[in-house]
Amino acid sequence: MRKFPKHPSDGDLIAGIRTGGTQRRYFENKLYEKYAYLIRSGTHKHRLSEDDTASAYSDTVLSVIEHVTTGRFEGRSELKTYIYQIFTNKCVDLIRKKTTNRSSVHDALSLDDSYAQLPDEARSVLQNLIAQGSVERLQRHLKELGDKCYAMLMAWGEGYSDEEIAQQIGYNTAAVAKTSRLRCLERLRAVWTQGVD
Amino acid sequence: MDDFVTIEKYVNGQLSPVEKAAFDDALRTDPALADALAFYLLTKQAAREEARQQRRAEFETLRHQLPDTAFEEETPVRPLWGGTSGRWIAAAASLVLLLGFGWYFVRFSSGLDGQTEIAQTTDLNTRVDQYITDNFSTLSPSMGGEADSLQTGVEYFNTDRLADAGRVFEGILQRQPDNDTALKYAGVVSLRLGNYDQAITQFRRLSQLDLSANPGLFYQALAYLKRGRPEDKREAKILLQRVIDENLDEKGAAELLIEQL
Repeated sequence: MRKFPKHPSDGDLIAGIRTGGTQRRYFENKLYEKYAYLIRSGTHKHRLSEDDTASAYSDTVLSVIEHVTTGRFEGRSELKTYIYQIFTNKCVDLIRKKTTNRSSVHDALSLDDSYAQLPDEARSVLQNLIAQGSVERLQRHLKELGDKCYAMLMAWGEGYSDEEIAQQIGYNTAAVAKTSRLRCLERLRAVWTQGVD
Repeated sequence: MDDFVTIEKYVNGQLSPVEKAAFDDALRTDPALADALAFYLLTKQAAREEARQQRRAEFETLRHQLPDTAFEEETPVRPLWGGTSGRWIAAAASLVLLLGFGWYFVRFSSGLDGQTEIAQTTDLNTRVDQYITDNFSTLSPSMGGEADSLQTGVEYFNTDRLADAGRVFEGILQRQPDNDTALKYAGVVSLRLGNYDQAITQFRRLSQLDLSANPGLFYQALAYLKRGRPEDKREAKILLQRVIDENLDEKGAAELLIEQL
């Protein structure tokens, strides 16, 4: 009798994540499960605690998901090889941090490469805001906006399209989701400006 | 909000070259616009970071729910001993095991309740898997308003591109929520992918449609049996009994399965 495979194939995982919508989260979890054995092998290989290795593995899966959704993962290497390489790099980073006593220092927020293309004026404002620790303050304000705005802006941050956000929130169209999302952004800005003043 | 509409187009590269040049100029002369752009980008980054923290926490929960075997790499099984002496050791070990089993069966031949239950469960699982293999390995298209899209989904399914097939069937359902074939096929994809919660929901929706032949309840029972939570067998039994009592589609198969419950 033909047996059902224990895990979906890599092709199905990639297609499922790229499909987005309600299926995306399911396939993301399946991706996590499929290569979870790396946690144990990483613990032995890099002599890290299981919690540290699990944290590196979660970061790896999140990076891979982002690379899959943005098209940065082009499928030139096998998913297994790709995930293994990123995971190894994250473990090595973790070891470096530990050996240089930097583990308690929060990582500075690294901006996407595309932000480097911004005109000087906007880039310097942005860098000032980051230097002032504005990200943490924004995250606090985000939680105060109400469940709907919070969910919409989170989904936007995760790279979901307005069409997917409309499905998640229960709006009829992507246009309605977009208008609502930008209104939430406006409300956040008003709260933010009050805090600054 | 208009600012953010234009800023979003700028960030996503959706402005025409002329509009982009005008926006770049405005950024140089209008500090408020530069502030708004910086705020937009920083908020997106903050939301991304917040979402990542949430997902990290969810993965951590998932990790603790996984069985121990999930952390072991699946590797091909190799013989433990390759040499001639190894074969002798293996043969001797097998003999000891056989003798041990023989003694066990003689000693406990009267108390077989637990073994019978295990055998029944195995038999049930075998029958469920057999049904799925026989009926859900390939799909055949039906005629209808969405025949082209259905055909595409069926082709994906039949070439093992299950997630692609699921996406096509979900797309049809967004346009036609009551398309019974798309709903049935979407449920089959979920079942094949092991997404049993979703399969149960989809087959429940199918069972609620007014059709001359509707296997929805039976398929729902299959999904419960595959999911295998403690209460799922009971749910499946109730559904199978309904299929039999109400003389619904797949009654014969339901009778075969219910024998094992």
